[in-house]
Amino acid sequence: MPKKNTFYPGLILFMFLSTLIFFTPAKGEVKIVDGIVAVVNDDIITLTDIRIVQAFNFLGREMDRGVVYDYNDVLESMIKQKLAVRMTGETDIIGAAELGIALQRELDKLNKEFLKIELERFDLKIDDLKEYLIEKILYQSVISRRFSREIFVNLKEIEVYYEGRYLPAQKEKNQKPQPMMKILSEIESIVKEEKAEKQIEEWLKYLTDKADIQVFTDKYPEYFNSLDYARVEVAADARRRG
Amino acid sequence: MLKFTNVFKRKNRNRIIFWGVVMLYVLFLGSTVLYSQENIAPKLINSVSIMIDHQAGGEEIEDLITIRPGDLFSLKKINNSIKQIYKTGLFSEIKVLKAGGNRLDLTFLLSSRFFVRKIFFQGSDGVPGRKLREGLFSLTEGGSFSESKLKKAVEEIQEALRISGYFNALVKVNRDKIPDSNQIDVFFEIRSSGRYEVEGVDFEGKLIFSPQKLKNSMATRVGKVFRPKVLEKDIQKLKELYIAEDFQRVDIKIKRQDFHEKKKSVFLVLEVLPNEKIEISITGAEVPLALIKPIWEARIFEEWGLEEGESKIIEYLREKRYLFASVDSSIKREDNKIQIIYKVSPGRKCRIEGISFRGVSYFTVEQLEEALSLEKNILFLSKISGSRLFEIPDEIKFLYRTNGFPETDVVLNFERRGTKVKPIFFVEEGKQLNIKILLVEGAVLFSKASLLKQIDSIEGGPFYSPSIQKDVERLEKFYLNEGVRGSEVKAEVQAEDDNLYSVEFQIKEGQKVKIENIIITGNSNTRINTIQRELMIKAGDFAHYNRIRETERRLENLGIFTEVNVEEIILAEGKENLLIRVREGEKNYVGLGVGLETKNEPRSFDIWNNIVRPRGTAEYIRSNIFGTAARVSLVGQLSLKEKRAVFSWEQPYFFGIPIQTFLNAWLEQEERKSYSFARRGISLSGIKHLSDKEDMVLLTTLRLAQTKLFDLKIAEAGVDRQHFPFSATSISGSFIWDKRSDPFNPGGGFFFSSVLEWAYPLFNAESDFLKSYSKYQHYFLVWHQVLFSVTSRIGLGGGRMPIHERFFAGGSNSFRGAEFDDLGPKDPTSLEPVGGKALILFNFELTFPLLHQFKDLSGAVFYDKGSVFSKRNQVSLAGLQDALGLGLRYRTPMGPVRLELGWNLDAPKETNSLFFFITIGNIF
Repeated sequence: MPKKNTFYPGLILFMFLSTLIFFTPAKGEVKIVDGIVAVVNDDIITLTDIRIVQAFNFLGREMDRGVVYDYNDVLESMIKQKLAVRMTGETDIIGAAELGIALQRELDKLNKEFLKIELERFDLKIDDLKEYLIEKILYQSVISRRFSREIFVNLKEIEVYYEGRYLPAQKEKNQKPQPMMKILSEIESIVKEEKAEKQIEEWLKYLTDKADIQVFTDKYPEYFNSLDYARVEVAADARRRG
Repeated sequence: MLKFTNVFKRKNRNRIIFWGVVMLYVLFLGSTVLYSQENIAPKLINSVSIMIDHQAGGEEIEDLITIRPGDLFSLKKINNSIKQIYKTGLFSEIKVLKAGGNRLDLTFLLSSRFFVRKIFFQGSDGVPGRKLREGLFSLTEGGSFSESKLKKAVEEIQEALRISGYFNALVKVNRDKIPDSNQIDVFFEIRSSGRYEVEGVDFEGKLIFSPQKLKNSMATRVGKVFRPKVLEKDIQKLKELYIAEDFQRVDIKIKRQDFHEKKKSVFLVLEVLPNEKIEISITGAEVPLALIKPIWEARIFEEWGLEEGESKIIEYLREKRYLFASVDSSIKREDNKIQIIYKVSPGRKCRIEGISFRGVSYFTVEQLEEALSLEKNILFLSKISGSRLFEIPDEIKFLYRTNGFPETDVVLNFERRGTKVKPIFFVEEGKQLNIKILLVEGAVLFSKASLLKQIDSIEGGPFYSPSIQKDVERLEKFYLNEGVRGSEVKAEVQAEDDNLYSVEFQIKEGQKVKIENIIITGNSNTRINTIQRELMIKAGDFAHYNRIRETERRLENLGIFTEVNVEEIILAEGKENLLIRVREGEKNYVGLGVGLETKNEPRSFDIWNNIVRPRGTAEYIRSNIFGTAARVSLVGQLSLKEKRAVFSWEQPYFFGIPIQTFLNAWLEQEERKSYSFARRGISLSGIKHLSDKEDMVLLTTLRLAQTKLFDLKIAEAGVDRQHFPFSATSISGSFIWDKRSDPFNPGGGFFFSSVLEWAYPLFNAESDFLKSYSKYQHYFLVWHQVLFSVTSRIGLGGGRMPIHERFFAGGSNSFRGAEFDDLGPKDPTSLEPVGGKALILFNFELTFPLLHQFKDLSGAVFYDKGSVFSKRNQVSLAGLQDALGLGLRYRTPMGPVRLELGWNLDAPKETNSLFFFITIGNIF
């Protein structure tokens, strides 16, 4: 008997089954769309808020290449922003005109194409971004006003940095270290920045202790306990930004 | 060959086509997989459901969800819905799930917010629950509950225990959910490790006082329990000791606290830093040191301190009419001492005679005096104080500035004749700035004419920058009140000329916003229509801001909510929801009291002629009956000789009309010396406030009352008129207008009331009369604390008026030249007063301060004129009696205590003409 040709029937069957699998609606699969992730003194932060802040980079700091800012990072930053702005009551720390200029500057930073795609993704209008931007701008203003005074760095602190951090770092990179006096001003500005950040952190901790904060990240494990999810999102974001 | 080639070519072509289709299919499949990973394909909403605590429900909040079946899937709408639902305050957790492929089923999962019903403390070892509650902020009865608050609550309790001396207390917390409710009871279990006894107190530093003296001033002592809160108060007491010795800048702090666990004791060391002694001396005039001392308590710039002291001394002396006082000050330093010396030259005490103005042309003198509230002198009494005189130049300058004169200068000078001085204000008005052109630009929704009506500025009128700013606010408020949101108003000012300005109000109009839905939450007992009838706005209306605020005020005035919050939640352009959140208050109130009862009305009793008895009172009030904001109360009063029960029903509406309605029913029984009586009655009253400030009231009452006597030991005619047997049904209308500055201790203003009562013989009642009674009082402040008051009363009646419905006068609250009720006609046999059908009464009184040290004590002179007439046609001015008198007043929060001596100028000979009264309350 001649051998039956099973190749083409098999191929047709494969195509039929794959069509069934990929195009049949996945009924019964329930996913979390949105929800309250945290409450800060009766002010809520939702999952969508976090996704918007992360997507548009409203964290108040520039996104470094290769660094993954997962949702936990974003949430922590958003909580700090709310504390700094709301608990100090400094919601009118800058005037309307100045705020308008700062808002426009932030919006101008965003790539137009990227902006269009992301706005569509979240079904937002450009005005809807203002509440997030205003919080970021106010936070930066509050921090700047409170911690703008001159921070002094003494020679001892520079020496400690030079010997404890600069020299080992240079050794690790197999680079020849520069003399301390030559990089004095560089070290001074690093130490000043670190001191300022430390003061800010202490102040934010003080506010956190006084505030009523509830966090429900355990209710959203797929978003907050999995770094993989965040990596995928960040990678997708990077592609969108080109 | 050709055939073979053709077949071969056909076979190849088919094969190519076939594989081409497969490749396309694979590419299509692949791109679909990639697409579904990277993008959310637009999907439609199939259904939206709400689950509250795992159960279907939530109809009352459906309107807050802005995404509906048939809509495209939108994260923004879902996010907004979550935020709106959270604002209701009813839910602590909200999550949204989706299921389905192209048609999505959305489920809103909500967890109810819990509230704390009661907080219990167990094992608190003698620390009163009240003190622990005072230290607890994160959890309160009636407040919201969440697990995250428990840790902080425990810390707060531990701190409250620590300051009461319970160090290292162990605090555990438990919660108990009340079934079928969203309430939780919280239990704090306290296990303390006991307290520490004070083993000793020692001081370090430069003490000035002996250690023993310091220790004697403290409540924290050897052998006593150590309480940090008490030690804090002790440190304050010690500081006061030092301040009294001129060590204003003393610093005292706890240097060490040595705890001994085994002995359960603590040794305390306090550090005392007295710093420099500050001696203040004021020579040349009697000025209290207490005026200057507080200036030097803190470390200040000395130049400023001296100037401030000089200024305070001069102001003090000017108030005493030493208008030309001057002060020189200096500082001397020695070792650890600072001496501050003020040398005062007070000059002569002056009498201020009138005030005059020179150089005034824009205002008339009368206009200036009115604007500055300057009243003319009365006889020799100046109505203006010395210190105010020196403030007037600045007030005049301000007045001119607000009228467009930026450069006005005012100099105060005096014409002196001995001790008499006449202040003269020399005014240099300067140029006036005016508005040449006034424009309103950018308005489309409203006409310019209607906008110009909202502002004070006018073309040709004075220009004053802050007034322009106020106009900006007025316009913004106008837009809000018209339901427009997002409007911005700016004022652009340009100088046209030296004195002329153009003002342009640039309006960037927002959008008129309509109320889509009104959502009411938090009312578990109150009926929805009880709330709805207070709404000044409804769904579909524009969002008039004033009406929204008025709604909030009306709900607060119901008196059944502890909190009312009306919030606007933007849905989309031109649409918003109004969220009304209420928190219901306690419904039950129980009161018990013991007091003294007199036979007269509250706020005024004549204790020389009354019966005083101890009495017990029990009261129960239940609010918000049937959720209608109605209130029922039951009051019972009991003493050895009387029993009384009063039932009241109060509601804010009368068959849907906003009239506060009271239904009262009472039963009372009293044993008197020579008779007993029982009375019962029922009345229905309605009160309507005629003005927003609630100082104008209309009151209508329907009354039915019956009195019976028993155990009579005297003739009926000898019975007190108010207990006379009679039945009456009547209807009365009252109008009250009260514009007094204070109803108990008025310092100005007036009071007017008028009552018309018609008694008709219904239900076998014996009453049949018409009676009217009007009273007017006016209070004039003639000088500092010198008050002149006038009271006039007219009462007229006709028909069959029983004795207790007639008019009576006499006594401390009506005519002070006669005993209580003794003015007017008498029974010829018993000589008891019988009252009359007409009353005319006038009271004139002047009260004045007596001693500067006793600000609440004042003297009074009075003149009363009046009488009671049997019939209306007997009224004549010649028939009025006169009484003169003197009095002392002592001011209390409930009104003045009055001691008065009245002399009846028309008393018949051989009868008493002098009358002495002690009363509390003003004459009324």
